[in-house]
Amino acid sequence: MAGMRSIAIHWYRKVFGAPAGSDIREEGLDTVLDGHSAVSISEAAIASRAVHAAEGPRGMVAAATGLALAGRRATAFLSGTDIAATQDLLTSAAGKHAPLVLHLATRAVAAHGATLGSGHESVHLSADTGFFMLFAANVQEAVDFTYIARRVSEESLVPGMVIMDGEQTALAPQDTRLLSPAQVSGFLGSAHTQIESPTAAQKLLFGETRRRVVAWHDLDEPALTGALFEQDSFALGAYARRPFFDAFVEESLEKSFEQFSRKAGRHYEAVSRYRLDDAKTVLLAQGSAIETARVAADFLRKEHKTKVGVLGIHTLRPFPAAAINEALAGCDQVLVLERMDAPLAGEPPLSREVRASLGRLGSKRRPTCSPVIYGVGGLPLRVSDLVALGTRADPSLATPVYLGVAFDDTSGEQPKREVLLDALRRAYPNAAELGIRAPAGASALQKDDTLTLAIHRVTGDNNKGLLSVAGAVLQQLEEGRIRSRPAISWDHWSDTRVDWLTQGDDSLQDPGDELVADVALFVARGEILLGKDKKAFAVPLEADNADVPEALLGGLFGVLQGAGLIDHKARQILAARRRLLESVDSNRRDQMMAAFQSGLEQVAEIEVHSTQAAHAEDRWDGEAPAAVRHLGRDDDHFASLSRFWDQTGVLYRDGQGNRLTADPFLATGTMPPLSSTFHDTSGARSHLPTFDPALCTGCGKCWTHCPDSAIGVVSSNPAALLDAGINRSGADAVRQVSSKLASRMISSNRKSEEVAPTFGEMLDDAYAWLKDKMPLPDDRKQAIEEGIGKIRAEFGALPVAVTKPFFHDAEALKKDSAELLSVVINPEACKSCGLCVSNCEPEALRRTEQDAAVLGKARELWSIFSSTPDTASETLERVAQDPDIGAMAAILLSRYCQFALPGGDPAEAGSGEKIAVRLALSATEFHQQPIVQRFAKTLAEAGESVSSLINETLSGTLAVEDLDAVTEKLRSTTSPRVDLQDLANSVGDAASDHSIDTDYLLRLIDLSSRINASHHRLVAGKHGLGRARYGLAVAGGSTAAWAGAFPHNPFQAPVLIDMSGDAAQLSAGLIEGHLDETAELVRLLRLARLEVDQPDGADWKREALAGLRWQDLSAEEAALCPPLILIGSDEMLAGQGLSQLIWLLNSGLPVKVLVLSALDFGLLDEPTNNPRASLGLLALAQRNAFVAQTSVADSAHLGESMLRALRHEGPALVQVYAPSPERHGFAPRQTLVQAQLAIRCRALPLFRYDPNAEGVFGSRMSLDGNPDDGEQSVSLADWALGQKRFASSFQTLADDVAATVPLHEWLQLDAKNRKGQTPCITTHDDDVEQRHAVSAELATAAGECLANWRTLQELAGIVTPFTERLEQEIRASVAAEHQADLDAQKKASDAEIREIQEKTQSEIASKIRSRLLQLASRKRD
Amino acid sequence: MKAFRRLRRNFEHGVHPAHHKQQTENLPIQRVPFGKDYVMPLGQHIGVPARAIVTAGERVRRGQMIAEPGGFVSTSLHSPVTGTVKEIGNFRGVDGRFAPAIAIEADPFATQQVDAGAAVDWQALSTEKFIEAVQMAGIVGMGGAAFPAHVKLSVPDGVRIRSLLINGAECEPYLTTDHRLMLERPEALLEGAEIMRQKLGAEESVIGIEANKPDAIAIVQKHIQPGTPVRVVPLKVKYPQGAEKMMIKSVFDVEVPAGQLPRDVEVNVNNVGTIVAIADYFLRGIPLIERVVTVAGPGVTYPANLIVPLGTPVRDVVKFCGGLKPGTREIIMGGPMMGRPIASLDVPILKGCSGVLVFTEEQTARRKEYPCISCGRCLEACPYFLNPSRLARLSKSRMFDEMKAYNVFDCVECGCCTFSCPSNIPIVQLIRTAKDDLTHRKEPDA
Repeated sequence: MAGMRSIAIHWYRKVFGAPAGSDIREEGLDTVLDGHSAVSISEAAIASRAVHAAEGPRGMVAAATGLALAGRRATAFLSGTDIAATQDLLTSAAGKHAPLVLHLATRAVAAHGATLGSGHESVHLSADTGFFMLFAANVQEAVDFTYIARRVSEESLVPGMVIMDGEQTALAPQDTRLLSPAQVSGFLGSAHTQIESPTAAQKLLFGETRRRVVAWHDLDEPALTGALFEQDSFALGAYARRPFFDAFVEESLEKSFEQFSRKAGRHYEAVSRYRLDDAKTVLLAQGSAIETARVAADFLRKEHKTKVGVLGIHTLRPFPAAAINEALAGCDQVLVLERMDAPLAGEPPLSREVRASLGRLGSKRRPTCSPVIYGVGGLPLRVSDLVALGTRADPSLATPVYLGVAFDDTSGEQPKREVLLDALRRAYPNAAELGIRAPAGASALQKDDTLTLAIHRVTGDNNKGLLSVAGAVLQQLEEGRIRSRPAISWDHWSDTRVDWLTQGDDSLQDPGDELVADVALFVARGEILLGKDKKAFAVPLEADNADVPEALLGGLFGVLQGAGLIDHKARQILAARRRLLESVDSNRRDQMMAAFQSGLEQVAEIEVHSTQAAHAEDRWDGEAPAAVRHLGRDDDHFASLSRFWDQTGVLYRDGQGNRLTADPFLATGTMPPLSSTFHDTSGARSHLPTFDPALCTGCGKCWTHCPDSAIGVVSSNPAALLDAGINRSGADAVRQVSSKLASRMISSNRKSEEVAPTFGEMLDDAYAWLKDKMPLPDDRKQAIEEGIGKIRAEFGALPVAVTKPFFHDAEALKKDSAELLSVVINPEACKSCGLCVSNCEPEALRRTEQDAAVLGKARELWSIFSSTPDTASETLERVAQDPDIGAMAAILLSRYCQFALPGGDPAEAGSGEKIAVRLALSATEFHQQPIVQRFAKTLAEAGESVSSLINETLSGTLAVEDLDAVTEKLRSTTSPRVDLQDLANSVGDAASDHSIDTDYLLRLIDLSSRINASHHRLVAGKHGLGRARYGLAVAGGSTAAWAGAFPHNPFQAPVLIDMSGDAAQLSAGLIEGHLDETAELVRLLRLARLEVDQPDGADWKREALAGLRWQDLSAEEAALCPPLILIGSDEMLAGQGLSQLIWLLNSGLPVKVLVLSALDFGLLDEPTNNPRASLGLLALAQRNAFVAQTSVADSAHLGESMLRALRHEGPALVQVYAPSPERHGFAPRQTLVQAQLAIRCRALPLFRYDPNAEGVFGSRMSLDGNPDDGEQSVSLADWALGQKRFASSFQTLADDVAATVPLHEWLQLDAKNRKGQTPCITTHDDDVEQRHAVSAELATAAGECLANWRTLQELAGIVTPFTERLEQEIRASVAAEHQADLDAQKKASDAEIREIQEKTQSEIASKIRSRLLQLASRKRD
Repeated sequence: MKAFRRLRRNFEHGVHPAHHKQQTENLPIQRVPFGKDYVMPLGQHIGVPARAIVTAGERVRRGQMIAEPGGFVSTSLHSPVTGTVKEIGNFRGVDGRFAPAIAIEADPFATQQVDAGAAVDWQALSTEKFIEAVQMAGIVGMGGAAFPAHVKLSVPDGVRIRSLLINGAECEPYLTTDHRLMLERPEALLEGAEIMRQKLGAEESVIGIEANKPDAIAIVQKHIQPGTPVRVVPLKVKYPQGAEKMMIKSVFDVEVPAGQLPRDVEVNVNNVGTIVAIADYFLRGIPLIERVVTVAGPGVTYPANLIVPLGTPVRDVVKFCGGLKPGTREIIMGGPMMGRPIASLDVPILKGCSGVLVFTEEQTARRKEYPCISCGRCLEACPYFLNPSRLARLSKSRMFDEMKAYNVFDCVECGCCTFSCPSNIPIVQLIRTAKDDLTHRKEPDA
């Protein structure tokens, strides 16, 4: 669905680039926009640059300040949490008089926990930095204040800040009028023009005129800015600010307000007054609450005849004290609405300031002033609460009062929760009076002439845009005003949220939260409910159609029109929708309009059906989740799961989360372990995988890659299963024949082709065979038969698969050791992502439509599964060697590892992050379990040795060596019992010493009890889980959103969720704490050894041990410390936290960092903080840390990397690409395919570097697991094409476009030849060939990936950059040598030939001569 | 003169014991955490014991019916907790005798939400059905006697009830349960009163509250919807103001003749707790599974008003209140005047148990008994105009049959006689012995 933001930007660009005579009106542009977009668009027209992404918030503010000092119009967008980090920078920017405007959305600062909602902490944090501050009450004000602030800051040379409330303004679509270009330039002028210096001080500084945007850092006027002063000169400068600069701001503001009103027709003042003339009680507010307070005031005046008015503060700095005093003089009471609580302060800040300014009024006219704290963290602000406040308000109101929250709940439906509330009531009898909360049901408060829509959508279904588009269409039709409240949440899965929208005439004010809807749209069901008539309508939808939202929207307007809520013809509605789609390309627009029209025309009334009955039925079965029963009930402390279940879990189960009351547990921001298992995902799912054992091959892919641990697996031999069945059903009679039945089950399945699919049937077959062979009396047979029946009924449904690795291979090794494999789906955890189904090659898992029967069956199977035994460790070790299964799948057979990360959390379906974290935690459990066991054993032994020492000491006092004397004494006593002391006294000779060294004995006893207590904590502890095997820290960002979302804690180890961006340093602190704890245990062990080895003396050694620090531990002892695993996205850990991460990797602490990479290569529309540099290479450069890059697609590699990381004693970094279906835009079942592609295209190649391995740097690296270069035919573009987030990097090419080069060829070209060539890739969909042009950025990134891969290969010594040149040189030199050889030989042979020739010639000549001589002599003769 | 007498809101005779309520009257009612074992005696009230309808080993939910009425003068029982029926057997009761009971082990992980049915549409019920519903909800008189509520509601044909009198006197010392209920749940009280009034066909409801509870009078008064026929009548502080005949006398200035019932003077009297239980059942679907109990007395560490699931052992309740102080001598179930000392801490809280009072040596010291000096104070104290001293003497001589002639069965065992006796003669205890003997002897005849 085309979002309003892109449309508006498009329009605005059109406005600025538009030729004369276009349809844009003089007075600007009417539209519906959320505050953030509206301000972004406005700033885009003013500022030369808006700083969006930099190295964290400090970077953003610093960069913007730099731009401003250089005379540019700069801005930055900050949210609440950023302010705390940038306060000094703000102060510095204000001190340097940078003409700068910043925007602040008021997200609450993280405290006991974090939230997405609004809070005004950041507003007041930045209040004293020297910025002037305009606080917008709605989107229109935010836009107008953007212009006004710019003008004032440039005129007064004091930087300004424009503030918006978060989800009430910054995110809420409202009607807005944007200024036209002519209005903007008329009001602000150009940055370069000369203006008259507005104040005397400025005239002194700059002369009569100056540049409109003063450049302090100017090449033409070189000066030093930010000098270092002595104390006295610094003070002079500081004091000079107020009279010569700041004093002018108020005047400048007034002037600008007036100017603006002349240009744009909208008038503003520092404060707004609403019905104050005769008001006795005044609600004083700032931000979006002003409008809501006005609604409440109207209602109070009308219904309760109370004289209430509203005073709105729009300029927080300069603080409008005079205007406030003037407005408030004479009224009885001021209630100051504050969106924050100031811990430990007497009053929150706004009340303090208001009270201070009221102090200047004469005591007769001075009203009382009480702070009212509302909406902290985005808590709903309801008109009904304000009305309750107004009717209750009297000057003796408790201070401060909390609006909209309950400190007590007397409805009493959860009796165990009541016990807690009672305990609180007993201890804090007055707490209930702290909160004011009106009962639910605010219908009477809404105005009649408004239209309220509610859009119920499931989080993560990408229908967020519906709200703004519905608002925009409504505004196109009806005009008037739009107010809205979008739902915001951490959740990515399954929770229903409601977006609200109200439309009314020009008098409409923001009606607050929790309204009553005239029309409700249920996105998931495609249904529309008409509130007044209680009628329901449905939109006929085609599943998997991309235009479902358009059809729903069409249906919504169809219903509105049908019910007469809007008075327009279908034609007009269609035209309105079409107008909004002007910017969309025509094909797409036609599709969307078709869907919209079909929805509009086909929406039809259906019967209203109730869903309540099904809910009541559920209750009994689901009394307490398995984890609660499993963890036991020890006490009711903060980490107790059963307490959490009774007090919080039940409320969420019953959908009554809003009935939570403020209590000490919530104040700590903690959750007990495994609370995510409370969450039953069944309701939010339409399909469920089902398992067919006949087809299963036991490959292990399904249970390895399930992100939600929703696949339970156990391999056990029939005897163990039968035993579990007997235990479950209580059929003890079967026990005597169980071994026979079990071996029959094995022998019959060894040969047979037909295998029974369930344990029950298998048991029946075996029993049928055994039945007649039993030499037992009839009554016993009868009992056995009944027992078999019971087992069949209660345990028989368990599916069992006869597979090669678990059954036949095991049987081949040893008789009767064959095992049956059971795979069971947990219906309470499955999110139906489809990964297991698409991964199952033999199709043993199938996607089945979920109905009551399927769900009931699945629940029964899961209940049976929970009573099966754990897989034997021998099996685990055996199949780990099997190449078809692999080590990771084998590890996961152990139940401890299988459920290291259970499901139920709100992560998206098919989350790559969860697969990675689950596998990593499973491997950690597997690695740490034996260590813990060894440690426990050592402790137990030490404990025993100390207690035997105690026994020896005690018994040693009795002279047992003289046994005869003892016997005699015992015989001589008459009583059956004898006092030990008497015995000792009478037996021993008087001279020997029977005394005991009390100090020594007490010391031993103390030591023994401490060792025993430690042992208990280690192996059992309060919950029977033992001490956690590892600690966890999660850096904020996408991971924290599912890992830490209240009330779902999926972990069983202690976890710290960090939202500050300093997770690395925090983890260092945590692990030092754990190391200290380990040192304490080691000290106990060493003390025990000392006492045993050297019972006498050695006091000084004991004392020395008291000072044992963790740094003194041996490597072996340090390994006993549970590792700390730091999990986070690359954005958090390798972006703004990179320097800390590098520090951590060099620290030597056993912190294992798991980085979950999003791999966006800086290609997204909205830039993030993702680093482009390869984190793996950076970490390698640290040399002493273990580094691995691995993938969820290669679980064996991931498992092995994690195990090695844990074995390494120092820090380790494991980087995994975590594909996210929702954020990256692909189907959930594709997660592994995407991960596989990322390896193949070298986006994140697999590698491992172990600093402790043999050899030199290069040889410690392993690149195993990557595809060979020869197979490499996939490029980064092929991977990116499958993900919607990269859509803007591709363009579909028509067939006739020439001048394209395939990407892999393009990469080979040098810069000169690349010019004019478009890289492209080709896809084959259904045999249709399609070419896609690849953007230059993506093509460059593809090249970088290949270069990085090559660097890795070079580092590992697989290739070297010298190869080719060397080869050529060697070839050349060999050739030259050869040539030289040849030449020499030729030379030699030539010489030889010549010699031979000469010789022959001379021989011939001599022969001829001799012949001639002979002839001559013969003649003479 | 008549008007003057009405203003007195009084009955004749009676005593003024110290009320000792300051210990708990300002403590809000709170819930006792759920324990492990619960025992539900089948006979918790006058009449026929209930009949168990569950078996050992069965899972039961909180609020599920576990025993049905054994006859007309009998009510059903509901499980106070979600758990498993452990045993149906004989358990020691308040009086020390073994009696049949259902033992339930609570599931430690159950949320203990009530498996409540929906609210009952009481307006649509016929009178018979309404009475049956009250019986099935297990509601009994919550004042102390635990008389099945539906029996009281069953009015013979021809008898008309003009007024519903709601007893908020709570004249027993120490007890504050009704007081707290009126303060904390006035809406439920008035809703229940309206249900009862309409079903009885009465013209008005009268809530009688002793004048020493001005806060309760004010709060109930404040919650009365204008136009409903309900009025609150402040009563003189005097024991036994809460006895129904005394109250009728105080409120309407009508005496109920001996041997007759309040209905004979067109009045139906119910305790505040009973009315709230009625509201809970008909408006919220919750049967009688828990009740408010005052734990007080000098021997208890933290006195409290508690919501206790029925069947909770007194031990658990006392433990929640910080345990017993050293020197504890006696624990009384009910009020100090009419309650009974319990034989064991394992005795469960019953439907009729409005208090658990812990007394130390000081209060329980048996004062020396002197001969009767015929001072006549007991005659003056007896609100029923009996002759307690004569009855005591006859009882001492075991002349029980003769006592009938002295209307021994009119005695409500209010204890005014013992309280007023200067010779420390345990008169009411002697009368009780006689009544016990007479009733138990009667059984074989009947």
